[in-house]
Amino acid sequence: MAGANDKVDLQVGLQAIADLDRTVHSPARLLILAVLYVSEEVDFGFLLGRTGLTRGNLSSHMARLEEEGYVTVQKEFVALRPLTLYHITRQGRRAFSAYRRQMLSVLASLPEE
Amino acid sequence: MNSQMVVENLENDVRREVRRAYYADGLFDLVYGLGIVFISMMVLSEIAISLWFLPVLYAIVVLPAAKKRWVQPRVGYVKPGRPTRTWQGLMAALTALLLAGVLITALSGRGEQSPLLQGAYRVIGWVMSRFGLLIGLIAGAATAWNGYSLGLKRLMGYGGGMALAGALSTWRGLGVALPVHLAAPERSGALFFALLGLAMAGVGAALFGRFVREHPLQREEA
Repeated sequence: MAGANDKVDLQVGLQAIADLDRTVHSPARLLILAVLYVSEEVDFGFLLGRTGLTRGNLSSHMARLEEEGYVTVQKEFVALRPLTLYHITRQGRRAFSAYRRQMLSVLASLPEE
Repeated sequence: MNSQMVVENLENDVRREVRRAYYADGLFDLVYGLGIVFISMMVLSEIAISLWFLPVLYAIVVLPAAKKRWVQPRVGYVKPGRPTRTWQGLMAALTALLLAGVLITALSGRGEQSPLLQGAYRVIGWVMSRFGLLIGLIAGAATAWNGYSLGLKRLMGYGGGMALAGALSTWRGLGVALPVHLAAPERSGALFFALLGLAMAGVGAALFGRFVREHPLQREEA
């Protein structure tokens, strides 16, 4: 019977892995979303400093998150300097929370050392 | 620490990191320190209570603008989001309690004869006679707790300073002891808050000066 339970747990774990949101699952995007999740607004320069990504790399990740509807972009000028501000959307917030729940269930189904 | 705890702590760690970054440049201390000085001056000058919110409004408007102007070009700009759910719950409960009090008083409908209304007047009178002490203790505890949770000793110091200023503000003899004329001696305790605000602004100015030196302007733009 123990074997049957293990099988069920493994299936649940595999299903949880398969259901993971691929947009959030990327380490860089996960870190970006984590910063945005706890912030009201964040600018490009702050994310650049915190994530350690290159400008091009960060831009492409932000574009992906924007495409998925997880972030919105607001551009403005302050003292003649461009300021690009990012805000997490409600959808992005839900995706991040759901990802965290799924990861916890995945980790719970894996054997400990 | 197992991997589940790592995932659960991710949000708290990032939240702490973001909030520490927000306080690192010293602008918060500078702007809010000056705000406390302005409020204290208004209290000392017997300006109407309804206008006391103006320095708070100044700080709310000036701080993000100053950060975007001087901090963003150097290390980027971040505005921390909503506090944790525990804090939100606490604030919601406090607001609900205050609103319930107001509602009950308003609906009592029996004018000044109402024991409920007379009780409310007594509570308001009690609060107003210890306003400095209560504000000092409540704001001090919140600031010290914030500093403790972020590991920022200076915020803990401000919290202690607020509580001390609140306690000292109950000293009624100060208005007589001062060699200057105060419009309302019973409000002279605000002077301690003004001194605390000046100290905060001084610390903030020093931190901001160091921040500007350590982070010269970047040439490239996003």
